[in-house]
Amino acid sequence: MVVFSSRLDRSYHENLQKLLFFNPNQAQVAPEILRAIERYGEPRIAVIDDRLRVALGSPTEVQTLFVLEADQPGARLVGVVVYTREEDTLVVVYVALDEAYAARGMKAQRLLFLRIVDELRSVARRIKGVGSLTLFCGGGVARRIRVR
Amino acid sequence: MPDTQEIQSIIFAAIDELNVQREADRQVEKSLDTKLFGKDSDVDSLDLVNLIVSVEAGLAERFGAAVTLADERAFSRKSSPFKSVHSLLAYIEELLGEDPT
Repeated sequence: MVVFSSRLDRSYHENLQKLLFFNPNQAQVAPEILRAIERYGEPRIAVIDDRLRVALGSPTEVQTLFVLEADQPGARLVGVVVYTREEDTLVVVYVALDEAYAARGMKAQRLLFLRIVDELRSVARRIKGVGSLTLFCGGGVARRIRVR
Repeated sequence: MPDTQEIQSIIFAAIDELNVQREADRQVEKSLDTKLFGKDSDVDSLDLVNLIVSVEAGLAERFGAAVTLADERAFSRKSSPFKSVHSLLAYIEELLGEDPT
């Protein structure tokens, strides 16, 4: 079972660092990551009130959603999503998944990325004035997903 | 009851859309047997999301109703509807065939 949280204790700092900056899957989406860095700046980890957040090297204010595997005691960090609001849409800026949850990983059948999209749709629906979710797909194509 | 061929053509159109963004040697095959995740699949996580939302948009356009494929109902199934093009097609048929009341 995975759970979503907007808060992450600072004890996960190393795990978050690995997921964001030393993730073997990133090579597959390198052009998308570079495009996101150009537009939003490089992500960095910030500690605020003993909680971890992801901030960007640009003035863009972002929210972070952490994905934790809660099957066993001591929930493991398996995903992180950084998103921001741009007028009437929530834009997904960065996504990092644990290798096991990638398309060819041992836990691929859990469809973590699709679950994240489902969760972000719920988040978007709860925000007044937001009607879609925007994902940057291959080739920098922006895909708007209606949420209402 | 929606026509199976029509749903299949919506899925294949979504694969065409996906293939535009992929290199010539990494094209996703338009076949019912095409695996959408797992070791035998050439579809990555972002591609799968792209494909599913594209199919959702195609269904909304064709049938005029918002159909959410990626939700808890689909995730909680023992056998994933997103395993292959065939299972996705069957799942869509099931959803569209349900009585809206």
